[in-house]
Amino acid sequence: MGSSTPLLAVEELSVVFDGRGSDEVRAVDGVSFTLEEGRVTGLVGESGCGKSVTSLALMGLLPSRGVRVGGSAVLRTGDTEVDLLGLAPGQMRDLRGSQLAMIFQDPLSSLNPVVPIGRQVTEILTRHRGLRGSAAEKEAADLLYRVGIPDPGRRLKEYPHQLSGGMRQRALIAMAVACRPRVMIADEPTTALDVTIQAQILELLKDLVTEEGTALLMITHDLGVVAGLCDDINVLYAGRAVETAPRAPLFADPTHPYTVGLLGSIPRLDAPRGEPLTPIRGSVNDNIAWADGCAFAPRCDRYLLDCLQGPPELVVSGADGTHAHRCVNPVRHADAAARAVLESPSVVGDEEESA
Amino acid sequence: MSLLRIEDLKVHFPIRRGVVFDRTIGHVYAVDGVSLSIERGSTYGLVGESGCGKTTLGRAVLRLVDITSGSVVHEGRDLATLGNEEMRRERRNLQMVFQDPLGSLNPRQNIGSILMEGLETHGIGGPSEEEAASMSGGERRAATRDDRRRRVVGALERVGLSAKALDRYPHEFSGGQRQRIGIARALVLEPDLIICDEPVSALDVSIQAQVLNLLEELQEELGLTYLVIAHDLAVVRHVSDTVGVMYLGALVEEAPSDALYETPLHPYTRALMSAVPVPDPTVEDTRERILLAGDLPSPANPPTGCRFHTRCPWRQEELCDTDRPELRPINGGEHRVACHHAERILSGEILPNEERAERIVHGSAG
Repeated sequence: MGSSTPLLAVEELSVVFDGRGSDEVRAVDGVSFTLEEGRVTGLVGESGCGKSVTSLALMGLLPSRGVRVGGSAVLRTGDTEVDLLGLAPGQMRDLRGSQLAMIFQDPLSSLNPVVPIGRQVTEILTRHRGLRGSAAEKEAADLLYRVGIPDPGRRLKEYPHQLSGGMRQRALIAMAVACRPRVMIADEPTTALDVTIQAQILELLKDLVTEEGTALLMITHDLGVVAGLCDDINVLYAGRAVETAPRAPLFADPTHPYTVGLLGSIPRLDAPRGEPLTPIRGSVNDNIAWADGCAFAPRCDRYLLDCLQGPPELVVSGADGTHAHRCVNPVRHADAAARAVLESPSVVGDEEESA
Repeated sequence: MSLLRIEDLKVHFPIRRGVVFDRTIGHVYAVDGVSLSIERGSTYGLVGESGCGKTTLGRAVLRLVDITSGSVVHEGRDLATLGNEEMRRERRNLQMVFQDPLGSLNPRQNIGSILMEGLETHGIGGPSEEEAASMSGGERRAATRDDRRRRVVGALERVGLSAKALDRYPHEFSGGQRQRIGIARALVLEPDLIICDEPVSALDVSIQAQVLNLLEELQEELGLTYLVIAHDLAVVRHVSDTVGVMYLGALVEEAPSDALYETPLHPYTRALMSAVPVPDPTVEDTRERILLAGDLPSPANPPTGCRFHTRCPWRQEELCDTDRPELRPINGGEHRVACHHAERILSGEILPNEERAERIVHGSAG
């Protein structure tokens, strides 16, 4: 959120799935953020908060029927501006791979199992850069080498099942960076990997952002990954951003009770043994609709009657206007420490009745 | 005396090839010589990356996989030598909580029937013998049913659910609740040891904390003993009294939880610990990070000598690639490590070789 014009500005993005016969589902409900060159923006949240649907909507990968996408996502390429959400499928195909790239969570299911890695990498080079034959192959080998795959010449001939998990994710990253995209979206890129491999992949992504000036949208549930990689962070809950801040203030001074709850739920490696965790009670099944009030209210320790008076607005706190939260009774730094510990199991019993 | 003692446990899976002649062409050395002991009322945490054999070890304790050699001693009896029927009875004392709560609950059984099954199998519950003597057959069955129901409801209440759950089916519960049911199923038999195989890795963070707190509360109330198997070092450190780090089928380090975090001695533990992200930007920016090069070697063809020498940044010319290090105590205490050069690495005499690691980010410089 610097002063420069953003590369990609997402405004009030919403995605609604029609329920066949039942109620429609608002998976994403007015999410706004910007991506800038050489910066990493994070979308954090638990399963069902709409983070992956956001990325699919931006890439134009949602099915054409049964889904309504609203808002805008303006991509600046040179002097021209295009709204990704309004593009024809053919135009989108030209952008995808060249200007926009995506890294998926599960590297095995996003690679074609019956096509060698080499063909899958050269395919994108042929489509967008017009490289053919040995030129494409040489470029593909260079790409694999750049993302840290040893002996790329041999790997190009191999099939996805012959590569290890970390190697497959590297191959996917190689395909994503093949055309030097301006915007890269990584949807849980390390969730399926072991921690030591995760550390390797995160360093690789960090290098790509610094060296190429790519704007990276990092989607993850892991606040640890966010703390190490992201510059700006959006915490999502039930389809809306509940807190937006640069990383230092977000972790040092979280204001939304959900963010505070998430941070209190994670066992930290550097915390002494036996330090109690303070979980968020209940589960996402307890949520109420945003139209009625704050969706998090039923699970919130700081819940007031005001929370049910319609959807809370995004309020800017912080001196420089970069820290915003969507809460009527935000946590101030001083009382975050003195927060009461609420036991969860009794609440789970109640929840069961409504299930 | 320790509740469970594992000695030189080995589990090797044969690799077979051929259609007509079923030849064994090699073995996967999933667990290759692990010794550890678990004290009553404590939690032993086993941590390692995928493929290190931690799950196989847990399953071998319950004899859910065949043990190749070694012994698992529980209350003076070696479980490895028991017959199938004896082992089945023994499982009353050794229960397991599985990783995937939906996959480990039968979707066509209601919760009452799932929890009751263990009691019926082991014949637990029912009137005492004196009471039973004065009852007719029908009365005895009714008394048994009531007693079992009381035990099941008791277990459900302990994990934060209520008797209303009895008639429901697994799909009607959320992930966290299903994991609670899995824990209740283990609890209802009042076992000595509960093996938790990745108890929280399928759950969202806010739910993870609920389940971890539940496990701790139950331990305090009931004096349970846990063997917690997980890939997440932060989770293991949080719940465990003693932590064992596994790499490629063997323990490389074992220490009390706090000692392990303060002075990790084995190079692999150091690398693993430095790779775990901490949700705090100031810590993230300043801590040392050791990025290991490459992947885990195949457990079907493990490296000679120290299993870790192919990726170890501290590797030395002598010993490492020829002699397999034994787990040995350091400083005479409970801290045990399987590394030839642990003392010299700790004192800083041996420095990591920058060429062998993919990258080493020094904390102070960052």
